[in-house]
Amino acid sequence: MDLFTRGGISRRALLQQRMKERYLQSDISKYIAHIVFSTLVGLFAGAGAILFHSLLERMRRVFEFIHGSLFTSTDINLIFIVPVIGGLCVAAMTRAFPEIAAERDVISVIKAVILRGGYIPLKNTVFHLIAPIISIGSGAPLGPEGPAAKVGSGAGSLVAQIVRMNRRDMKMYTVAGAGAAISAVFNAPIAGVFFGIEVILLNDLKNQALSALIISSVVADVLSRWILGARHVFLIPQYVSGTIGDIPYFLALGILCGVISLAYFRLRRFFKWVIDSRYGGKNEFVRLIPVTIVFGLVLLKYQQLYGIGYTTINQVLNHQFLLSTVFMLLLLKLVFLALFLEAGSFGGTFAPALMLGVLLGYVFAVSLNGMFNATLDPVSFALVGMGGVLAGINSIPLTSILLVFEVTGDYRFILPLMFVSIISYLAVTYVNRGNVYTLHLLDDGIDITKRGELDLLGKINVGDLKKTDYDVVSHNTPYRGLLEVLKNSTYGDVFVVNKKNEIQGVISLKDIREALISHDLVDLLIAGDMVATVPVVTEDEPVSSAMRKIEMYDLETIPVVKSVASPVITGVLTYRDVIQAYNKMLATWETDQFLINYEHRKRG
Amino acid sequence: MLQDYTDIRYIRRLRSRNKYKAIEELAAVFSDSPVCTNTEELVDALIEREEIMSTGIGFGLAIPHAKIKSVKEIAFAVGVSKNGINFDSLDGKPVHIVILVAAGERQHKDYLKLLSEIMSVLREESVRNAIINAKSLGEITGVFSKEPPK
Repeated sequence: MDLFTRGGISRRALLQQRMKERYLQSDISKYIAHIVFSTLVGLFAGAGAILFHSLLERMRRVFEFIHGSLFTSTDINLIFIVPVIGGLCVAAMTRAFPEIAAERDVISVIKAVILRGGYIPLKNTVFHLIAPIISIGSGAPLGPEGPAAKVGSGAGSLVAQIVRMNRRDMKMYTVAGAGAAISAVFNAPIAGVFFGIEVILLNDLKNQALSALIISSVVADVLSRWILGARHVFLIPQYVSGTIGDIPYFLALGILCGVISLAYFRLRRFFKWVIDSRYGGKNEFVRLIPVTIVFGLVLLKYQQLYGIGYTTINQVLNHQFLLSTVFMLLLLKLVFLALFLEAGSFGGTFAPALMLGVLLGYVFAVSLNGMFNATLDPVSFALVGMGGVLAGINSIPLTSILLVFEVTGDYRFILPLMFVSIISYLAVTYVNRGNVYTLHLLDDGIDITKRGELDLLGKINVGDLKKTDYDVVSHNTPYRGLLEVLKNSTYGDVFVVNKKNEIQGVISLKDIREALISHDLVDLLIAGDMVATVPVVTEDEPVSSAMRKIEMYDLETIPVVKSVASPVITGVLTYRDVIQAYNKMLATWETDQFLINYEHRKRG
Repeated sequence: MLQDYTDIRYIRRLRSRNKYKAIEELAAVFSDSPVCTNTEELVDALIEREEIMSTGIGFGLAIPHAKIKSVKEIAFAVGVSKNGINFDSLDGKPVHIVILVAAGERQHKDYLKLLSEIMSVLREESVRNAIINAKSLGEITGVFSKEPPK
């Protein structure tokens, strides 16, 4: 027999066969596919973000050309018309596609990930590619990163949809796409990864999307550097990074960053109230156009507010403005940022937060130098302020530190940057009692715990689980009649109603067991005597809220009523049905255990 | 023990012959007591309940009862009428003993338990007679100090 053959099979073929078997037995194929798809998502999301960036730049030039040429022909600065033109386009788009337009901000990506397994329809991605380009390109003082993250996550979701991935994988690549887009837009791959973790995954560090997020962010940044060049967004002049003696000043700046961030949230709430209830209503044009007109007029004096504001940031860092101008820019930027977002414009809050931070830090240092003969370097404080306001407004301390570090490419101010960012973040979290995204989700009935787990029951309403086979008696039903109903009741609970058919309470078999044993009470009692007060729920209430009431009152069933004001019973929600629904949802809810499970299998 | 839910101050010999007046007269024992902060509300609730179905269950006994917010401590009052009160009882006979039970809105289980215990004690004719023929209010209290028959 040939030395290299055994049983008629060559040694090479044997080796190949063994390798094939080993390959098929192991999960290595999954890992390879994971790397390939993460790379693809990085390419798609990066390309999407680059396309967004390029179109935005072109749009900015078009509008600059419009107002520039109008200026030369009429001798009047008509820059104020530009935001109005953009506003009209954006309002028309919102009117034409109201449902897609409503899916705004990064919060819609978070919702897509936790509620729809990362599914983002292509039309949403296209809409949120175009609308912010028009909006920001025509001068709205908003940032490109939120829309870019939407485009990136949309690209990730699209890749997953094309290859028909399951919900778990689609969610993973949607997250990866969002991080990759941030990585490409800012040339900041580490910040891209942390953006995905802090914002989209809501600090879920155990999530399986982490590896996809890192690979995609790296690939997207490589693509961005290749196409757009390895550039730093900000041009930082020489500065003194500060000494230990400056720590109290940085502490004060951190608190001020928190105050500015809180002012932003208050302003948004105030403008929302004004626009929603006092004047704008639901008409997209009435909401947005007056804001663009006022903004346009302000631009005649403060043209530095136009668009994203990176140029203005560089000008401030290079001491090109008077203190009074920087102060006015700070106030106006804060007001118009809140106003544009509430009026229905499209754009993000990262770049505006960076600008607010630079303006605040600069004003802070120059003012103290002027008032107390201090020797604070305004550039150093402006750079640190960037991180402070970014962390405060967006509840992202880690991303803020890394983003500012990466976009400036300067390590010297990292310590005060970390210090100020976390102080600002803590100040905002303390006052607001939570992270901006989790609070927003809570407003929508989605309860996220600190560990990023989802309260599934917040996703469904009581009406979805309501049953109508409940038992009801009038409050004046004699005990004998009540016993008959109780004996044949579906759930062992009988609801008692008054003459108006409004619920008075419940009679539970378990509660009246003692009274049942004593036959003496038969002639004495009526249903109204035995009724126990019971909380009610409405059909549009989240099941999570109903569940809290069920647990608090130790109930088996809870009555569903038309409204709290008119508590006419329309159905019943049972504890059993809630648990069944929860288990069913849990089965479809993709827990992020792919890699962990693999490790367990391997060890086991 | 039933004695824990009543007091000598809550026992009264009734003069009224009308059931609503009798309820009002007996409920007045809770005025200025820690049991109820609003006896008017208690009387209204008792009368409202009485109008739905009489609590005169026969054998000369009536147990008007109500569960309302202004009752802070579950308790019962005892009214004795030598002449008898027309309570629209099941057996059509006049009522000589009125046990008025007042409970708080959230004292649901205690309320049913107390009613059940009162019924257990008062179903004995000897007990009812002891209350009617008692020479002092203290004697009536003594009746409720005995363990209810199982």
